Amino acid sequence: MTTIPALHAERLSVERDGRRVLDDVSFAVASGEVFALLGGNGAGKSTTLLAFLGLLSPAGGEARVLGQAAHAEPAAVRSRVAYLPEQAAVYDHLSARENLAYFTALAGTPATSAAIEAGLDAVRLVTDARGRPARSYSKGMRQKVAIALAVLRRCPVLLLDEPTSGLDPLAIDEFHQLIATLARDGVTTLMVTHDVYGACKVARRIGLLRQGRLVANFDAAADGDIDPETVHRAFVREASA
Amino acid sequence: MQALLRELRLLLRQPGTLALLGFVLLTATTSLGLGAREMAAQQALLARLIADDRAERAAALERADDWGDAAYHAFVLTYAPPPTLAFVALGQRDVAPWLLRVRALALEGQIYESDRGNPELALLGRLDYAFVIAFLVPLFVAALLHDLVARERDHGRLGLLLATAAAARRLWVPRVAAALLTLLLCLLAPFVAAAALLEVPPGAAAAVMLIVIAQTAGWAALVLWFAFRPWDAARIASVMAVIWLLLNLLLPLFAKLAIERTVTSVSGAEIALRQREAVNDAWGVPKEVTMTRFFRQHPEWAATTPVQTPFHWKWYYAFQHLGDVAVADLSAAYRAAIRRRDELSAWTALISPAVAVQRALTRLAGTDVEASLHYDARIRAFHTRLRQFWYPLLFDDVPFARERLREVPAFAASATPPATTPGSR
Repeated sequence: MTTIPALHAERLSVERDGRRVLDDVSFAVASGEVFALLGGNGAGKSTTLLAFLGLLSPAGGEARVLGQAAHAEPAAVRSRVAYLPEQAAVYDHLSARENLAYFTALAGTPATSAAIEAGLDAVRLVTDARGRPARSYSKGMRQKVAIALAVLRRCPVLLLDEPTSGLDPLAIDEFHQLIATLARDGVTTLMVTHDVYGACKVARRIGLLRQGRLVANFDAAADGDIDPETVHRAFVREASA
Repeated sequence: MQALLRELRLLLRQPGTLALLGFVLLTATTSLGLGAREMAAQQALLARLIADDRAERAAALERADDWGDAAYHAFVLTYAPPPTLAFVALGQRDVAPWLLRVRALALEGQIYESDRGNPELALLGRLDYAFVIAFLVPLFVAALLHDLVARERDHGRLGLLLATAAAARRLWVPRVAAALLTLLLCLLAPFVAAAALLEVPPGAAAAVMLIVIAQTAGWAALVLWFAFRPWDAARIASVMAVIWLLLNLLLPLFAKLAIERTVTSVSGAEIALRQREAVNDAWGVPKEVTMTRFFRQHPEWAATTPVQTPFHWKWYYAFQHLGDVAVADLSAAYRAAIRRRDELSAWTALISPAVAVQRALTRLAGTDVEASLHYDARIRAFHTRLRQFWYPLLFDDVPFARERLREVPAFAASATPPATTPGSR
């Protein structure tokens, strides 16, 4: 019996403003796996995520989520995917609780107060902050709110865009623990990032994108632990190529 | 419904939006309040003047000792009472006469004593409900919706929102509906309250509400077309400002200038002046000449006893009458020009929503050019009745009898203009 990958980019190509920004990219992410895509600016990382969300249509190939083509069935796909954009912006005038109430209702799965507290507990957002307007939050706190949304929605797939950029080391560490916990619960994570060391810490497989093409793969299962130095050298080499 | 409530809760937590909606509510309430106050003031003035008019005429007739003297001093108040919906759109009641005391002398000078230079499109600036709906609603709609998408994009929430909503329509449809419903509530709630207080017929109130809804929906469609472009909020706001300026101010202004250049006419003041000159000149014209001219107009009194004294009321009323005859063509042309300008301004409504809305509301309120011309026609008809009462007494040399003075015609008000006849607009 063949297991369908949770995420599957199959010869995926995407064009934006007449320019090919993703070119014949293929990879698959199994259920419960954390996969990181590394690459410099303009490598096509965020575009990959948008293609999986069905927000960009492929010029060739396809992006499939749990077996469904994202561009063909975007609503069905998005209902099973939680997305954390680089700027994890929530509504500043609402508190964490109110933001979660709003976004879960928007998703069509309104959460009870108890569920919201449980979600915020899961991401360890300090209790005192939960009722304060989000304008007083740090970036890390905002990201926790966005991740709590993913937790509350119980989505099997999590797409993360530069999730640790701008976070302090403690917040990064907490974030990595959270992703590991979600993975243990069976959540599939695709994370795009510049952060080589963070990616090596949290992901079991890493792909390296350069100018829209997948140019290298690193697999902890095959190579033992992924060596950050090896990945870093490859990253620098490809970025300067 | 759940989605609508979700967006309503979000909307009502946004301080900027709340401030805007509060301003809309305040503006709508103020405009209706000012309109209602103006109508109440007009009604109070009218009630006082009607009472005064009756008393003054009775006193004047009491002092009279012949028909000519009685006709000279017996002013009668004519008026167009404020229609029920006039508080919504003051329209021509703001610029054209709605009450006038007339007597059996030459009419044109009385009518145009204060020149009614009523440019049909020069209604900008009066803060009545029609102004709010015609000119401010587009700005309210733009302020509420122009950055619908751009705001989320600029704050970095767009991706999260779209990804969370699954289908874009699950986000935008209830969000736009919530914004428009609250805006309409702020615009219509004060009107419904005012309409209930002032006992506006339900059909008329519903028609006003339909106009408000249509204006709001039309501008919302236009703003949303731009809001979903991949533009930043400032660019969309600038484009909307230009469109508003063009459609609501510049096009009507150019159209007004073009109409005035196309349809030329003497002014009411000019007609009054010429009529008075004709009357004044008549003092130096031989009486036989004047009377002969008058008998051409009224051959039924050609057999009246000749005027032989230096002054006689028959001669006086004859040259007053001829004063009107002297400017009759000008007066008819002036009224035709007003009507023609109004007809042409109806075409302006095709390119300017503000003009269309204002015309629709003044038409509905009975305060448009048609209503103004209707009152003008009623003054003329009443003045004819006055002459028909006094002339037989004067020219048939009927002996003065005070009891006949009780038969002096009284003006009966009619707030409702006649039904529009084909080709009249």
